[in-house]
Amino acid sequence: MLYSAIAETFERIEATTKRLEMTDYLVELLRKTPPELMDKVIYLTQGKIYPDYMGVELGIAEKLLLKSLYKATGIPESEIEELYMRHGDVGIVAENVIARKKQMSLFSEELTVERVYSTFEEIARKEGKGAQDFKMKLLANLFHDSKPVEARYLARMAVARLRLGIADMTILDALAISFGEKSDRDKVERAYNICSDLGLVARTLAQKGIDGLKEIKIRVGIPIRAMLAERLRTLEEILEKMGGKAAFEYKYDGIRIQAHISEDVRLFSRHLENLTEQFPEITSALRRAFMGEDAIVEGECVPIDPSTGEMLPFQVVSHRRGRKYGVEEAMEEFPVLLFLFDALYLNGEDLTVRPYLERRKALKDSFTETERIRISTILITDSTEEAERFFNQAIDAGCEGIMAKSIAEDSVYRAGARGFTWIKYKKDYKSEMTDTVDLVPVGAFMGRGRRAGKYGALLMAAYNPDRDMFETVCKLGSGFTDEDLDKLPEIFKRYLTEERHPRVDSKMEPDVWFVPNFVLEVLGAEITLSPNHTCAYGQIKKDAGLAIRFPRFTGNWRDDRGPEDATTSQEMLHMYEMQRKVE
Amino acid sequence: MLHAKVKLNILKEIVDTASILVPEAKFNIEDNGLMTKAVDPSRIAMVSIEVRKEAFEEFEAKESMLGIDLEKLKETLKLGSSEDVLILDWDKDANTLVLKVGNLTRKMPLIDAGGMPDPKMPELDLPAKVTLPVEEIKKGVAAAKSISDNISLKISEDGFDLSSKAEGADQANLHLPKDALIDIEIRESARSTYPLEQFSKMINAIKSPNVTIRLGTDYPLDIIFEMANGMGNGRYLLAPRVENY
Repeated sequence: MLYSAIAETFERIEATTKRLEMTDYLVELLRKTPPELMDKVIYLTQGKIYPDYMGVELGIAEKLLLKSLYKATGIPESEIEELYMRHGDVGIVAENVIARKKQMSLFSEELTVERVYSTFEEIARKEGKGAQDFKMKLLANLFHDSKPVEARYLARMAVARLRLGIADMTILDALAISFGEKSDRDKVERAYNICSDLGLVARTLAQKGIDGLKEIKIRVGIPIRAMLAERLRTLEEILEKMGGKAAFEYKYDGIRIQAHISEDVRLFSRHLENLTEQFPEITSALRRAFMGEDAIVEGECVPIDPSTGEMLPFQVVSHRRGRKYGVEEAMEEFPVLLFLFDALYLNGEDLTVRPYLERRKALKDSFTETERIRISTILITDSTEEAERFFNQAIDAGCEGIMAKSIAEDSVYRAGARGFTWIKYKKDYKSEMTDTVDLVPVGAFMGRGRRAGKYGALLMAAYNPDRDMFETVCKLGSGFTDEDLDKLPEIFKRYLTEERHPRVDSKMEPDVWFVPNFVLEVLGAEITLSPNHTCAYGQIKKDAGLAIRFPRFTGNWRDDRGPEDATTSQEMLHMYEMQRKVE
Repeated sequence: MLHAKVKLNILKEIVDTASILVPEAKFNIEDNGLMTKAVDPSRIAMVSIEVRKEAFEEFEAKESMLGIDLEKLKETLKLGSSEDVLILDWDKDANTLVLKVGNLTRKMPLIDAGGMPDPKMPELDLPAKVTLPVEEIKKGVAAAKSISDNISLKISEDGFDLSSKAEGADQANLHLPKDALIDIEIRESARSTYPLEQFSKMINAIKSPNVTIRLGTDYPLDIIFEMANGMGNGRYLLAPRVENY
């Protein structure tokens, strides 16, 4: 299969902002793809070479990429660098210089998907002495044989910024349409949620059809996409939603971890990053505390003050993330505990299909609590007063709140899904809109006066998972220190896009647009209706969306969150309704 | 197996002809001589060399492949003078090449030849051909150097032209009319532009007095020349630069 088929599809996808059209183009591509290449085409579409949990990243330095373009074209490096300064996008630069390439080569062959994929594999895996130069040559060879439009995507892929605007959800849609009926979408999504590997799902579908998905099973060592919680503002409401009675658990303020235990232990974050190296004390402690054969369990990893034994805010452990060196020092400085709260798999059995209390019992029965490994504190009650007391107790213990969990028969573990089976209740929800929300900057307005030349305000959005769009809620200009303001353009430089990102829904036209990437914690006075913002547009009133009045940045960059983990439009809607009830 | 005696300048000519394009090369040894082919890393140039056993003072060989680090070999050749006779032996078990120059012995580990590519010469149908003294081309190259990164070659009924042009009015042209050429054959006239740096390296590496150039329009250049005092031959291919604005 020729890589040009992929590049041409990308070009069409990039040119549209309509998700349905994107899906159609993707379907066309998948129908042209031979089954044995299906996984590779999917990874390339995601701008990856493996599923995330493998932790293999491309991310070539821009400088090296520009050098490879020089090598492939003979166009002077200074000219290529200048182009890059002007466009800020390696894709445009690559396309431009390949189109102007003068130097022919003696041997040239059309790029195939197989060659592109295996070259990127080689690039990602090469380490050690001379690796940079080797990577540069491999890239130059690809560029040598590429057409201009192919070069655009090869370059972006190499620096790990494909920027196609295709979300996992769009790929799932396309897969369901290509290999089944639209009604098979749930089966496809379920398979993805338990294996976290769109390539595997795609290849299975291509080779064995919808029924083949049954072969995709939970496996120890391969992370399951995490189940997520909704949120509500009062305990009354929570209990009502849960059918009068629920289990409440401490909601520890830490890093959520999915632990896979067999002969060895692997730890994954909520975003399926492999954290095994960062928490060696947990891996060994888990193996000792576990009394069975193999298991997949979830827990919250919390740092402890070694001198007082008290829980510390999770930020102190977040430093350990992605760290390769100094883990031992960090272990002594801030030892961590793991509070287990769920079991998804035990001794060969898939527990995700079992109700919550059964899973909880399986968890309790197969672990001994140790100095490092605990089982989360739980209370089952139908009384708001009791739940309230439990909540206060949790706050006292240093937790951020409590989590209500359904104890109904159908309270299965819904991988990758957010629903009212789990509802979080946090301390800051008790007051009006002193609730903080986590919002995503999607654009910025240039400042005036003292802020001339800098950003005056950021255009902020909530996330709507149903549409997979970022919907705007406010212009955020206050709460930034002068130092912050100076740094903003630099911080966002890598995420500038010339036009509105296809996953952003906005009625406003900021001066610059961003690719959704960061999450900022924002505090507001109240939620109001506004014709200028697109969040939950038309849901309360025709021609109006939700907006936050007097938004203020709390100073907290939620580095632990991806843009899809931002406050959802649905949550905004709930908060708005709650607020009205209070009035 | 290989045992050979060879004049230093002959071996140096072989090494220099290849080393302008690649730092290491695979030599195929046969009982009647040796040959090598290599493509430069950016794949714009290629070299092919064949030297018959008659070029050597002594030559005994069975079919084998030697991966040689040309830079190292070049350094070794600096240790003698051009009329010295070298003794070459391949120690198969240690995979080393043993060179003796006078009282000096140099052992050189070989590169695993199995992993080195065996490029094929592309078949080129080129409509024009000239044979001329290398010295003439060198003049044209020298004149072009201060003007541009490129050099254009043209073969027409008028003869052979070597020219380069800068963005301003700077220009150099070497015109050799038909009667200044040793030979000319034209099916149709041809003109192409090439990177000067590579072209110049190739021309300067050629030791034979005359050279044959085959040319097409926007096609690779084919340079054919004799080596080892007529006991071998060499060929360079060079890909063109094409203006496609």
